[in-house]
Amino acid sequence: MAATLTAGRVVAPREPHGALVFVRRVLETRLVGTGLVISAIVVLCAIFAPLISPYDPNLQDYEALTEAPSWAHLLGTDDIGRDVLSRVIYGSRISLEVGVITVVISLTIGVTLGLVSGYFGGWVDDVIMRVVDAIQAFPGLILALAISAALGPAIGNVMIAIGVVAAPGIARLTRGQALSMRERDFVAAARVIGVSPLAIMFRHIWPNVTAPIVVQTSLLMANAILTEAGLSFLGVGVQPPTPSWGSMLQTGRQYLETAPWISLAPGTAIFLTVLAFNFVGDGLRRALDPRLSSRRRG
Amino acid sequence: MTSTVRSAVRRNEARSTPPGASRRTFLALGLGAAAAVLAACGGAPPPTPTAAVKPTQAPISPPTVAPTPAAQAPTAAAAATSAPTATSAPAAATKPAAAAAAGTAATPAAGASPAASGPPKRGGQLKLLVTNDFVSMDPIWASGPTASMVYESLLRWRPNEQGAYGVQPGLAKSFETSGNKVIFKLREGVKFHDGSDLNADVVVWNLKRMVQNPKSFAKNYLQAVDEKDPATALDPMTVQLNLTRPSAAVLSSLSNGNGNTFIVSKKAADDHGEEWLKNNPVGTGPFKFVSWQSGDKLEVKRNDAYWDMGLDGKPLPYVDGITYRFVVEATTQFNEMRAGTADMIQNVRGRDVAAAKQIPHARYIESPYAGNKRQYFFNAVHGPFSQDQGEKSLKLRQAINYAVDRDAIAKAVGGGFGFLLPYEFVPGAVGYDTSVPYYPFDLAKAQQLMKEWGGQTPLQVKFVVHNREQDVQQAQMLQQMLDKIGVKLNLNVVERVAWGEIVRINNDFEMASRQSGVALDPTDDLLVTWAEGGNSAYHRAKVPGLIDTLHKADSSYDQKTRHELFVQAQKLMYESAWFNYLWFEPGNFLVHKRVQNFPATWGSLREAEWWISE
Repeated sequence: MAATLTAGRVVAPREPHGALVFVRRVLETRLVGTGLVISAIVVLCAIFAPLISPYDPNLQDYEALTEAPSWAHLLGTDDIGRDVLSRVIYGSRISLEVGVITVVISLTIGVTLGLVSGYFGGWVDDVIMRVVDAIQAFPGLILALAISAALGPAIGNVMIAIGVVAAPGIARLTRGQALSMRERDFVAAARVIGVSPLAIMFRHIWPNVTAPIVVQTSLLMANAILTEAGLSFLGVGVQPPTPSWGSMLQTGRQYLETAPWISLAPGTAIFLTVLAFNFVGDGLRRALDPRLSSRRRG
Repeated sequence: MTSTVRSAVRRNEARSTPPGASRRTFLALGLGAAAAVLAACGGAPPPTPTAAVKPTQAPISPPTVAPTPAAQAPTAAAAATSAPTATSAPAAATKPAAAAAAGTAATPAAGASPAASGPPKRGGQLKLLVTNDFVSMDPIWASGPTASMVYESLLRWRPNEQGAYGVQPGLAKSFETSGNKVIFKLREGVKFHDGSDLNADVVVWNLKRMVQNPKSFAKNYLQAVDEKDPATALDPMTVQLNLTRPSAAVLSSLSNGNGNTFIVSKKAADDHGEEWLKNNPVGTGPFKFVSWQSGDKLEVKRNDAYWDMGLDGKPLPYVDGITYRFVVEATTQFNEMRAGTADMIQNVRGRDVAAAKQIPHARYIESPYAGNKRQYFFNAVHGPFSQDQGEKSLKLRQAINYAVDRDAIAKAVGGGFGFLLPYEFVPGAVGYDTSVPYYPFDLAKAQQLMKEWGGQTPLQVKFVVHNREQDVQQAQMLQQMLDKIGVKLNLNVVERVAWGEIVRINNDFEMASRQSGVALDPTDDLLVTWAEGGNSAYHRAKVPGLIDTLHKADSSYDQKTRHELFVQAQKLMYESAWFNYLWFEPGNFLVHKRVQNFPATWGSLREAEWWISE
């Protein structure tokens, strides 16, 4: 769809194949490449966790409590003798799961509200946007904390909480784009020939407003992973013994002096993953931003 | 945390106060004491380290809490300290044994000398850290810490000159037990912080609200007191406490080792209403209330009109004031101690003990009394363990108990500091007896019992856990252990208030874990845990004969009889398998070296007697 968009704006003749240009632009900086590589590693870890983990992440070895990294346990063991490396690998599943499902939740809510609000305008727009304003007035983490605490500590509730908190941002972004699309000729044409509002919104406007949302999605993913870690750290997220980076950090914090490896490994994992998704988001933004690309070309 | 702070929470939190001696000293001196007391009382032979049931399940070596036996004779100690008035014959009979034995045992415990140097100095502010937030400033409502330093009790729980723990005069300058009565003679000239006088009317009013208020926590510890007519004023300074049966525990329950039975100002309640007391403590204690912000801190200042005298012949306390700051994280507390921004913390975790001993400006002191027992229990009302399933659910409970490797938990969670304890009673205490059976770790037997139970596996069980670090670690270990017999524990980790709501109020659990401290008198904790409607009777199980046995034990002043009855009670507890005791985490203190004279005893910190050397 990005290609379509690019194609729609193409001015220069002899532009090489659209998709290729896009990929090249995404990869323009080394940072994006790094981001993609790290993201790929995280995804592979999540998919193949049972194959690459040296141990069962929940297996407790009471003879090996808080052991420093060694050949037997490459990243050491935690307070009740579980292999830290295996838990970090399995932890990627939780992080990605939360990231992906959260994004789906917030996109579903946010895009729908944004399109309706932007397309219909008037009092519908007013009502939806005031609700969005109200939600956005709360600090994100605090609101997610409140929702998780109210729903009870469980991974599903964490996803709902983060998804709900992130949705208003998406709604606002979509609405802004839809608002400008609404006045375009092809939308007016569709309306004239009697296409239903629902079809106009999703078939005509939506494909033309995706670019900024794609960028936002990758940043949202990073944010969701970070928020999940925060919630688990605070004890309202994933319940033990499920390996989650945030809850591992929480346990490890008590052992910072005596066994720093317990918190170092999940901390590094969170840091790198969030960084990677931000790099990718940044690359996508550069590639999809018409102003940036025309400046580069000009 | 102040004395009371902890002691009030005796059910769920650590009991307080230790002596200023190392565990090694206790180990050495305690063994003799334990033996002497038990022998003198004709009780069961002292448990020996070799009495282990299984190598992996060896109960703790007995001497660790050895000074305890001396303390288990409240009436005996009372006799020693208030000799002219004590008339309880059986108490007198046990007195020599307890006193003599304890004299050996508790010398290091009772002596303040290890912690004091030079003449007392006056002035300065103490900065103490507490782990559990204060719950209520009105003691009878406090399910947790209260402003103990602002209050005083009728009696004090202290070691006597020989070091034997027991009750000593407090606001009552003397007391006398006879049959179903206890007569207290009150101390003259004592004033509450609001200027009102301490007299018999005030004390009778206090005793009545302790016993008659349906939500009073004090009531649980005063079950032998006549609810209809708890007390009578015989003259302006004499109070008679009316009992329905003789009770060995009632005196310790009325001492400052129990945080729910402090004497509060009647005038304050009359002037402002009882509700006001929940935020505004008015007592006769060495410190006056200044301010309290829940979740943050409690501030108190010196009570210039306090009646008790210091070593320099002037009224206590030595310091001008104290700030108790609420810091929930053990690591944060430890770091503050290391930075020198706090004067005392309690319960340093096992993993930090080595580092604690290295801090140049702090003293590390271990205490056998301030420790915590950890246990789990089953819901008897509904779910797979419920009472109405009779023999079938008993097999399931037994299977679970056999599948638990206590030793592994004690080692891992105790950080090299905890030890296996399969009983309600700590070693050395009256009632502690290794002949009492328990469920040792035996996987084959557990699996066999699961087969006999015959239900569907995996069995999903809702396990409600307090979010304390140790409890969460322990829960995860239990999860792995029970997984092997097809029991899946679904952890519900919640903070303290939510735990109380789910477990105590809503009864919405199948299994839950908790911790309890070392009680002054075992009857206290057992009745609270097993009597219908008791504060800690979360499981709501009824074990035929148990309450009767406990009442009998409470009614007897003879240590041998009590011991036998407690052993009998424990056997009933074992057979019914509602509770499983796991391990013990001994308590400790880390005190700044600028703090001199640290006479903290079992049940109270005695902050009034500390002074600051610089």
